[in-house]
Amino acid sequence: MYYQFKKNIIRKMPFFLALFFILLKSLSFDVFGFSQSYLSNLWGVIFYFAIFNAKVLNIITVFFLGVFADFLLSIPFGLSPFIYCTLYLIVQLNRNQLIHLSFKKQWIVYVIITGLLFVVGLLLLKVMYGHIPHFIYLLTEYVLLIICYPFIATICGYVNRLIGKYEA
Amino acid sequence: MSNKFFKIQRTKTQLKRLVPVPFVLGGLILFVLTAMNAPVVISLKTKLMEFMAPVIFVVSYPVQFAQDKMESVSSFFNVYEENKQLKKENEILKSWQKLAFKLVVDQKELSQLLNYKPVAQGREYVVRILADYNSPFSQSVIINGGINIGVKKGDVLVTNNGLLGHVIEVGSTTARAIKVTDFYSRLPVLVGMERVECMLTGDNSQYPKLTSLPEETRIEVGDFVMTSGNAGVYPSGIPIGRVLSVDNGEYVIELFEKSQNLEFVRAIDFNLTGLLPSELPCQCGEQN
Repeated sequence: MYYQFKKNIIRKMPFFLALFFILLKSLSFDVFGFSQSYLSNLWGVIFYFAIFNAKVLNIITVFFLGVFADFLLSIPFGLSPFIYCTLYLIVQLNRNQLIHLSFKKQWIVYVIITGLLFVVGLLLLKVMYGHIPHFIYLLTEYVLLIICYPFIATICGYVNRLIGKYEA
Repeated sequence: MSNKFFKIQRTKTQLKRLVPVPFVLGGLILFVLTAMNAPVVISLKTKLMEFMAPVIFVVSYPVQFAQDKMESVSSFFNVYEENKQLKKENEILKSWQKLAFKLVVDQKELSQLLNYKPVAQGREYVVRILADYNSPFSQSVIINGGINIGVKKGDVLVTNNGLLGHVIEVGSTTARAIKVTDFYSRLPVLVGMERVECMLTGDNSQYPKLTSLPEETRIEVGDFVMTSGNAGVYPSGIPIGRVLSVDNGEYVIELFEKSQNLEFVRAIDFNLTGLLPSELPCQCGEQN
């Protein structure tokens, strides 16, 4: 029974990890004194688990994590669920190719997809709300998003191995 | 036979991969409805706010703790400069205090002479701030009080330093207020000794700007900014901030209330009718 409980908790770890990163995002910090920025590592978690273990972070969870993020961070409602679910969909459609790529190539794909989704999100904001956040903010946000991916992938890899160990 | 079986299996796998499509569309529809200010979404947001308020309150503790620690570390390195500045400020304030005492006496005497009756102040109550959003998308706060304590749409939030914002959504136990720094905040103000009438426009940064200025305005750095009372949302005379810089015709305002680490705030109901009444039954604080 204890083993089963532990197994369930470990299977929920990607969800808790994603939740932790949303909470971390509510903590803003100064980037060399010129921009207030936030660590948006949830993209990395979704990208990683959509490739390697989609069962433990399914689309319903991703959708509601997006809703929660929108609410907690006061982002226009629906933007994060749309962006996160699109990221999940793109990765799922190309999963067979992505899973066989080396880490560096996966990272490049991540940079391209997140870049495209960033632009889509900004266009949506511009069309529907008529304004977008400052350029410096967006730049630091995107650069941090890319730089942090190796760390996020390492953490997610560790969690995924742990899940695999308990499922075996 | 086996070919057919593999074909079906492949189609099934491909269909499985398209499961996220309805969720993508759902997110997009939600976003469009939010942008259109659809009553369904507003009602959903208010209900979510009610439900999430205790969670956010608990969650915000470690975040607040971390932010406080980060601030105390950074202020440690500026302590000498800060002390110097505070001493300077203290001297200026002392001279202002003397002037204020004299003005209070004068004002009392003149009021008696003219038989002036002061305007009644609005109903006032203190509320706790549950969540403070300082994101590049929105500048708002969630307060711990709704219809249950008589919070109404349009109630003004002030602190000891000055104006913070006004209530825009009211739930049964919580309410949401936008700050004067929010992108959608447009506030009629008076600037300086000449009482120049213009608008204070938020841009989601900590420094709102002055817009709709009349031609040939004489506004200088350091001029005092306060509410004008026009439009009937805010009463006149609430201090907001002072002019920080003038650059290429852009007047940047430094707020008195920087809204950092705020725990409590005063909400005042001035019974002003400038805001449109809410269409939603759950938000009609006015009915109570």
